[in-house]
Amino acid sequence: MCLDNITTSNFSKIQYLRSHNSNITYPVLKDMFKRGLAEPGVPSEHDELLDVTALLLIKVHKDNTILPSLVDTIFLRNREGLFTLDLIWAFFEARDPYSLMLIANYLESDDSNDVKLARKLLDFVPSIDMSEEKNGKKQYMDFFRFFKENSPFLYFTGENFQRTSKPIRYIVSKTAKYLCRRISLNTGNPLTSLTGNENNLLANFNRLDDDKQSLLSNFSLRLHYENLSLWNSWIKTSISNQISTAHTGLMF
Amino acid sequence: MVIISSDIVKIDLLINEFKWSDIERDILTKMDASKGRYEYTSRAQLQFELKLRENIINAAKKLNAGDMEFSTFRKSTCNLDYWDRTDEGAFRFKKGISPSDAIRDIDINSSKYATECATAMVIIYYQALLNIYGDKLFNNVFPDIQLMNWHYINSPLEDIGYIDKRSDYLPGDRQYFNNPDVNPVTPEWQGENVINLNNEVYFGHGIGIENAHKIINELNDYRIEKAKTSAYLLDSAGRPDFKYLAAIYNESKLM
Repeated sequence: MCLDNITTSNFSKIQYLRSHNSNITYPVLKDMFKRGLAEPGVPSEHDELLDVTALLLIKVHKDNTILPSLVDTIFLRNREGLFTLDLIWAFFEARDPYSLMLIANYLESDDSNDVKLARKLLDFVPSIDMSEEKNGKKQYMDFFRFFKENSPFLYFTGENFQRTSKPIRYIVSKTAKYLCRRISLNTGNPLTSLTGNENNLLANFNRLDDDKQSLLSNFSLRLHYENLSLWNSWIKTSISNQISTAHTGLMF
Repeated sequence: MVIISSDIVKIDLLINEFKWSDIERDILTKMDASKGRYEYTSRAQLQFELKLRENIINAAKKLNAGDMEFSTFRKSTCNLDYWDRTDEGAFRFKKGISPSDAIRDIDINSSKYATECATAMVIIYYQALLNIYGDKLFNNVFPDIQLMNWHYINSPLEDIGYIDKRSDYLPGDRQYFNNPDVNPVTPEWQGENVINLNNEVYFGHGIGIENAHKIINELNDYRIEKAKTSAYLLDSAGRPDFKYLAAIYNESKLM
């Protein structure tokens, strides 16, 4: 099978990719992807070939350099009412939170279809509102602020549109934010083991309700950023003292 | 525990008081044994939920017995006398056709249809509700139907698109088997939506009626080489808003 032979039908190439993809080298796949991008909006088999090469590049070869082109293709197809679900799945399976900014850029698009899709894909973020009245620029900035604050504490859930209408693609780990410890994107666990003291802190933290956990985790991160010495003192106080300080601290 | 109008129900009395089907009796027994609370404002509301669950199960079994094939969205098919197929593989019912006839046709001419597992679930819910509501009410409540997994669901049914952890999993629930190590060239097997048919048996379009072990084995066949993680059943379920749907039905009875 000559995958770079233009006379070989797309159908044959797709069948070959499905069954023999372990034989295909990265450069060949990458070349197929680039050639596929150069001819957008052609018949369904052509799009399917692009989808399969994108899935293999991301999932097998861990090539995230294609993400910008992938996002643009998703939004282009969406405007034309074409199939996007496999590419959307491929995009999120890249597990690259920074690439979410590529989607966020479309919040400010002049095309309402772009904005609607961008909101749908970023719907797991608390600051993103699906209502029509929200200003695109404001939503972009809301997302940017959310991302800047929370990116070290995000972990990937694997939720997708096959499972649910509102997949929560990434979750912010409140415990990680509270301790100001980076976590693994894939497991949500800290990158290095917790100390005995940190485990004790978490035992108390985990008994709190959601609102108090949010209060403490947000305050902790802010304080850690603004005054590390003060944070070191604060985190050693009792949980009730931490809460009352956080209440007071957030008033200023 | 089952609670009606703030009173805890003695389940033996309730079971003896009405003529329940076997599946309704099973569901009631499970609800009663649960640590969770199943609260209703009236008996009619509880009866509706049980009836709808039974109809969901029956619709699932009927779909399984029919000839609707499994396919990806790219290759989906429908009866063009009743539905238009969109470029993304969804089905939109044709103008001039009633929604109830279009939904019914999926059963009558099942061999003309092919789609994937999530869309099959949505079809099951519509068929179950059509059976209870009847044509007139169904067409009023769902005047416009487009079928494509959890997208485009009419608002009375939109809750079926969400999936949450529950205290129990009951017959008629929509559950999901996740396949995290799926082969990327077969993304359609990244998971399987199923209807809980009772007795630890599930229906999933594309797999059929099986127990969890067999569904997992089937999904595992679609994993990458040297996969490390098996497919598994998620600890969550999707349910329609039974109370809202009951209110629509009960209100129509008053007219």
